Amino acid sequence: MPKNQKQMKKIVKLLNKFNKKLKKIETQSLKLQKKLSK
Amino acid sequence: MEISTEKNLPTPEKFIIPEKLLEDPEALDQWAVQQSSAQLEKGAETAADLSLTLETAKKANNPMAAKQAESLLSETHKAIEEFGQEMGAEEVEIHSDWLDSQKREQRIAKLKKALSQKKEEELKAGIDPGSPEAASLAATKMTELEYKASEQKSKKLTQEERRKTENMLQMMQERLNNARTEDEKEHYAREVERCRKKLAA
Repeated sequence: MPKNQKQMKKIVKLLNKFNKKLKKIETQSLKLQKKLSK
Repeated sequence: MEISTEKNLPTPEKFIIPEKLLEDPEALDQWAVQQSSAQLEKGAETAADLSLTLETAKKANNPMAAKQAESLLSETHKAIEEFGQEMGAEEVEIHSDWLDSQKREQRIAKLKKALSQKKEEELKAGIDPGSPEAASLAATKMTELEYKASEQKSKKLTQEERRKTENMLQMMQERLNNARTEDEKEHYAREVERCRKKLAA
């Protein structure tokens, strides 16, 4: 269903929030992997 | 269990509404669906990676690392679930597999298997896991898997395409029956053959 601009702004905000969370998890995951490979 | 064909979309540093799509609400809607799918797929890949790290930590008898991996894994699951629900609430079309925890687990298990194979290959090739070479090999492997999946998908005609081709075949057959000149007969026979081949593919 086509969205209005207000809905799109909310969607973009949610995308950014999830992306930020994922990046944080990925960074911690990489650190953990490095620790384990030593 | 094919969910997304958009997972190779590059993730921007920050998402912004594409200006060129602003005048086209349907294209904007499609963009939101694609980006959400791609993000969910990335989340699932992170979960699969963490699941492997958890196994490694357990094998290495490192309870602290295992606990950390478990906590990150649960955080990832929670984030995926929340994101799926929030997007659903905004009427963005989310594949039902992302909202069903059991199906999500199956998807992650599949990714985990592919990732595990890839890591074995890295070890065999003498590449240090976590190095840029390993990341490059991982990207190639995942692209190959995705390519194979999309190849299989694209070979099958969608229902809509099939219906259109069937209608076209019927029309061409009628025209062939009513054709008067040799040229017409030849042309419509070729069209009939083309439609048949398409339906048989």
